[in-house]
Amino acid sequence: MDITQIAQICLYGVLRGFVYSIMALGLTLIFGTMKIVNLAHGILCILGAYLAFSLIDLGLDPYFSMLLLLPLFFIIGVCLYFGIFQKTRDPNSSTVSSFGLLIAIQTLIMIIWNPTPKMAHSYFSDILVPIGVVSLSSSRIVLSALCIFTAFIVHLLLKKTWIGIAIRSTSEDAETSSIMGINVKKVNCIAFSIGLMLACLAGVAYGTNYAFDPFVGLSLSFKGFIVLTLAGIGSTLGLLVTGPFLGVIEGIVGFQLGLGWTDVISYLMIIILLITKPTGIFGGKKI
Amino acid sequence: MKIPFIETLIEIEEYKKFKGLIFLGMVSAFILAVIPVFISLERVYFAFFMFLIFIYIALTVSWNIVSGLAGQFSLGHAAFFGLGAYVAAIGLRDKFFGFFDFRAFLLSAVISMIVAIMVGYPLLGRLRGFYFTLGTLGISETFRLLVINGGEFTGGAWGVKLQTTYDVGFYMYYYAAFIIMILTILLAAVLRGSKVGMNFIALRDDETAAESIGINTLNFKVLAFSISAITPAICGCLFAYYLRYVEPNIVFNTNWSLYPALMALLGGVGSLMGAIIGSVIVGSIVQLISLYFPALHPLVSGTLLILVMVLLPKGILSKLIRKP
Repeated sequence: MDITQIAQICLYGVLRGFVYSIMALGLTLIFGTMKIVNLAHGILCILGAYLAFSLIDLGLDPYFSMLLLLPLFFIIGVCLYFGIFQKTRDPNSSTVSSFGLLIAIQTLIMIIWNPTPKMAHSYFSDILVPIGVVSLSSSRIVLSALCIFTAFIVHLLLKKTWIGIAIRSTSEDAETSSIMGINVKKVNCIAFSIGLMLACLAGVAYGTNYAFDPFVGLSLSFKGFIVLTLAGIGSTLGLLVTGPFLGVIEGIVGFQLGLGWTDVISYLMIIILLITKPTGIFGGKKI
Repeated sequence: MKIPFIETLIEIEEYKKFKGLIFLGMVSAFILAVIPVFISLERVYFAFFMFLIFIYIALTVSWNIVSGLAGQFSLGHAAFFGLGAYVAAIGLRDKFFGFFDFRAFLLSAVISMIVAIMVGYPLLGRLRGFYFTLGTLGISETFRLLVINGGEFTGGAWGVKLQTTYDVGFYMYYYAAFIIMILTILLAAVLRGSKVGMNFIALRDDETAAESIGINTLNFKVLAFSISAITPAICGCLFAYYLRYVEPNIVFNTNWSLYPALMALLGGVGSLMGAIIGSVIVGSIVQLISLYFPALHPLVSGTLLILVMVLLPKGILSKLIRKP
């Protein structure tokens, strides 16, 4: 392995990791407010990628069709929240129903599109940009810029705006915040829907750069959760560090041992992490 | 910590109101045992249907031991199911034992128990409630990927073929599944009445209180986990002998963890009767749908899971019993 290869692997890993960061950001919002581990998060990303893929036929570039998909996912989020997650009795049964949702969406995708791997081709994918010894597809640069920008927007949203403060106080203590006049159901609904919008964004970003099929749903959810666990709950910008970290590790493992091992490493990592350091690196709260 | 699934347990006293149901179960078990004497089972769909229902009941009842009695919601049954299947397949390929060998069933049960203990101590020691569920799901996926990447020994993603010229009739499969089911039900019933089972229930209802009266909660949790790992391994063994072909994506499929959970949730978590009723209902629905609309059946099971969690969080049996 010479220096060019290492640079290439690390750079590609970092850029891939930003997608995980955005996914984990959505998971954090959902997990923080409702204590649900949304196992369907990964497949919802993939659903976004498939929708963007289909909109290419209408002549829309994936990055522009995102403008249509984001409101759609907000509506899907509201429907899912009021249809399922508000009605379940406790976080455990919500999580079990999110697993049911994962399987249902996965099958729907397989029926509507077929299970062969696909890739949403963007206008930016063809332009190569040389950076030093490595050359990059400009689509990946657009992707990472978009992800970092989104993370900062969400960070500001959480810290500065009224709804962000409401979301944070609900995730701190739902009962007390409802006494303080916060409509917890509304806040949960908004947090869930924003989470799904972030899933859609991550999905489109993933779909324009990497091949996707309906079976990566669960492993994507797991990766989002690893990034989340590494950073700790409540650390928005920490996710921007831990996501690329996972991406680089995956890249190195995939290069040295073969691509089949990357998922093994991530599953083992989450188990070891949960056992040894459940507080994360940046957050102080135990999940 | 409170584990909300389990508040809905149907207590032993309430069983007495349902002596009729238990009697019905015994009669139907007897009928199922003697049916093969009167009708031929070869090339009859009914035989295969009942074969799978028996396996589902055995899996659900064993899932109920760790998740219903001991209160640790596990989604790791697929790991043990696949393990049992691979023990049978690799054992046959490397000539450790023959086709449909009793030793294979025994060995798979032992290996699965040991693995459950090895996995159970770190997982159950550190993870509570939902994180344990996530950990078990991770374990079963890890097993699948390890087997896919296992190279020559596990046959990789191609799997292992169980090559044999020896043929047992379908009677053998039918009765093997039937016996596994009956033994699992007996094991669960005996456990429930015994002191060990009482300890499981105590630590499920209130872990701190159980610890304060001198129950080593970690040991009992791991015990429940390893006991519940026996049946899936034996079922996996039987399933491998039935399919004669073992592939990681079939035997480590998440369905093998999902269906037991779904069936027990539908019937009522923690009750033996509920597990059996739930498996018969869900098993029949899933099989009939996969017979008539093969492409749709994961969609239906996923939707069913959501509907059960939303509409019937306490299970069907609670609806039956709580009638005025």
